[in-house]
Amino acid sequence: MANTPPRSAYDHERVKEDCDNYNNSVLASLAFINVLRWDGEKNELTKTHKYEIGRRMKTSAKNVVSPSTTITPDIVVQSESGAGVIGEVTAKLTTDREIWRDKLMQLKKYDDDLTGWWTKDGRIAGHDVALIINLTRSVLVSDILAEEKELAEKVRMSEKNASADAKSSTASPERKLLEFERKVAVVGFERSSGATKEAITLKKEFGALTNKAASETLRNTVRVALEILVVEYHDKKFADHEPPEPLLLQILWETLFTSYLGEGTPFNEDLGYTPLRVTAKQVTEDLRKYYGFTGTDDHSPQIPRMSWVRKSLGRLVQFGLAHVDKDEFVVHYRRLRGDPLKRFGKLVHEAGPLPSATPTQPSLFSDDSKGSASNG
Amino acid sequence: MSDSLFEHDKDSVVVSSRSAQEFLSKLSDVRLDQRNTVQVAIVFSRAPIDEILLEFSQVGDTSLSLSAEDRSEVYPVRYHHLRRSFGRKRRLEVSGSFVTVKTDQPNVWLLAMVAPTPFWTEGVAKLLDRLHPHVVRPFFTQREMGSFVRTFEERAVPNVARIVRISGREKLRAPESRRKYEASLRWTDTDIETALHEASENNLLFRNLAIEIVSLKDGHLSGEGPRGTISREGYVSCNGSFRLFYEAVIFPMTGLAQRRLDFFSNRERHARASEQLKPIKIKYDRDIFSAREQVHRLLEVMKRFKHGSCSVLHGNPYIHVSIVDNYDFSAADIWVVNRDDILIVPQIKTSEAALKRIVNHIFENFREGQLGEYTSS
Repeated sequence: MANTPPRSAYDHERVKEDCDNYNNSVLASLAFINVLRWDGEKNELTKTHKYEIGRRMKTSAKNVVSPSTTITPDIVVQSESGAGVIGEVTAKLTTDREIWRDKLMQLKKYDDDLTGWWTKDGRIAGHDVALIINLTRSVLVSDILAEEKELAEKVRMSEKNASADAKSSTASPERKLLEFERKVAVVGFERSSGATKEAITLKKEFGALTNKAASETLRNTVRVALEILVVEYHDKKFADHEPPEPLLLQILWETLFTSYLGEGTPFNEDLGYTPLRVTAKQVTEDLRKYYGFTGTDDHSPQIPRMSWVRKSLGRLVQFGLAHVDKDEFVVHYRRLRGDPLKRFGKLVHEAGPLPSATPTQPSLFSDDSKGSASNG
Repeated sequence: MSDSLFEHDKDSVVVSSRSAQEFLSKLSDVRLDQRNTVQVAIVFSRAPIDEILLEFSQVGDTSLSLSAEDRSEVYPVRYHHLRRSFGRKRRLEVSGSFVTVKTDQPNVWLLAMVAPTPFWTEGVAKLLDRLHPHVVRPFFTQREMGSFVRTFEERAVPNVARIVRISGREKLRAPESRRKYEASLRWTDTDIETALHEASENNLLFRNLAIEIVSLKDGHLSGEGPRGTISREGYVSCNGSFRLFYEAVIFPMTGLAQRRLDFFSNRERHARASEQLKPIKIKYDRDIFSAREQVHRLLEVMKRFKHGSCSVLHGNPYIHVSIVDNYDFSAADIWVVNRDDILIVPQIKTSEAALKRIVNHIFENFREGQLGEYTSS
């Protein structure tokens, strides 16, 4: 029998921090969208901008990172005039420059003639690229971009002067240059407490956006009240990456499954729970409807992904809070004592990684293929 | 109040009433002995209350039995018999009858009875607990309670209204106290304005107020007049002067109850055509959440939400919790992201009964504030 390392004690503060980072990513995405939508002259949010979190875009064959494939940027915004912004949000806190350089190289996949915009042919004249990161890392990442820009400039100069020495002294031949054709901006975000309101603070540290007003606003630092982000954007709970498992389980248990409990699903005294028959597809669609983005075209987001939901339902089976019956999950709904987020956090921690044999509705796997295959 | 030449006993008042108004009118003339008082509970229900009671009576319960009898044969006065046994070591029982009366408000009903107080506390009040969330008891704020007793005082002239008992929750002043509030029951004899002023000074939240009507002779208060009790959950009892209690307290309570429950209704997201949220704000007149201990205190209050669960998603410096009301599994998110208000965001399923319970929980255990709609600033 293989020795398994002893599991560390459950740390709920760590789970809350993970959930907080996830929620901050959602809020930072919305805050950035809000800045782009703001019409300073009319002093109101424009209704004509199109925007989504997790919209699926197509890359061209010339894409240097992911040619001819579907990608899902965190943020896609298109103004009425047809100007676009692609935004990528990350809560990464590393100070390793190489990791950030790799991240920036990945960002180059957005520096392409993407299709999937809200136009007849799915194309627009041009778009900018923005990286939205934790404010404490925005100077570091901006420095990397500035250095890379300088380096690229030197390489170009040296190529122009046909000076081999200069070329070799500036960049190794294996090292790809980090250059963007389109405008690129680095925007730092931070959740901040003001005198009267909690807010998401955004500050542009590098680059510029075509939308001059938004670019200037971001350069000067802007605070967007959390309340606006919660209410005006209809309580969005998902970003384009998987939430911490306890958080998704809490959302399912406390907000979605409760809505399924009605007159037709009585509490079963013998079983000690209310049986709720659900499918991963139905659960995913409902989560998308209330807490994700619900577009109607081919590029509309699929957030949350069905694979995340299947994983959560599999967890419930593992915890004895559901079982599988044919193509459905039967959730054993009952009241949970104490803090449900903590309860699920502990259960996930104690259970460890989800075993591959845990039932996850094989017959419905195919439905999520687009999501799992994407490179966003 | 004038005495009637034709007084009724508690049974004849029902039998002889041909309408709700006549029944209420006759309650003023009913003969009361020492044990019995006229008692009225104001309740809110979307479905006709008699249908709900009938459904409950058919489901059956070993400890609480209910049966209906239409003795007047004239709607809306309907007679219900209730019997409830309770107590573990010593089995006790209450039984009696109450009448359901439709009010002018579309969803507000009165449950009226002439009975000893335990029939209410151990019988009808427990029945209402069982009927929640189909039948909802309203709550009234401190300001509204003040308005009821002031109106009562005005209408009592030439007699004088005196507050003789106050039960409520009082803020503890000692800094070393582990609890923030204590339950208080105070016997007193004071005029209305003094009682309201002292309550404000002492951060006392009324739960029940007992009022006595006394006469003024030669500048002196004299005699023991009729007494009544008014509770913040819409229960009124009296041993006389029912008409005065009805006009000054019960009638205004019915209108407020309708408006309050209407305010909480139609906010859940699955019932709404638009994805636009309909959150509720509890606004305070100052930046109470500038003090971190108030943030912490509200968080602790939300964790103690009875018959529900609370997931803490964020606790400091701002609050974001998810609340589930286990009565009907309604869910709502509570946010404190401004220094002077609480934002309640209804989720997919959020009943008016649950929102009422959440707001009442905050008002009773944290602090009362001004209820209103969210408006973008």
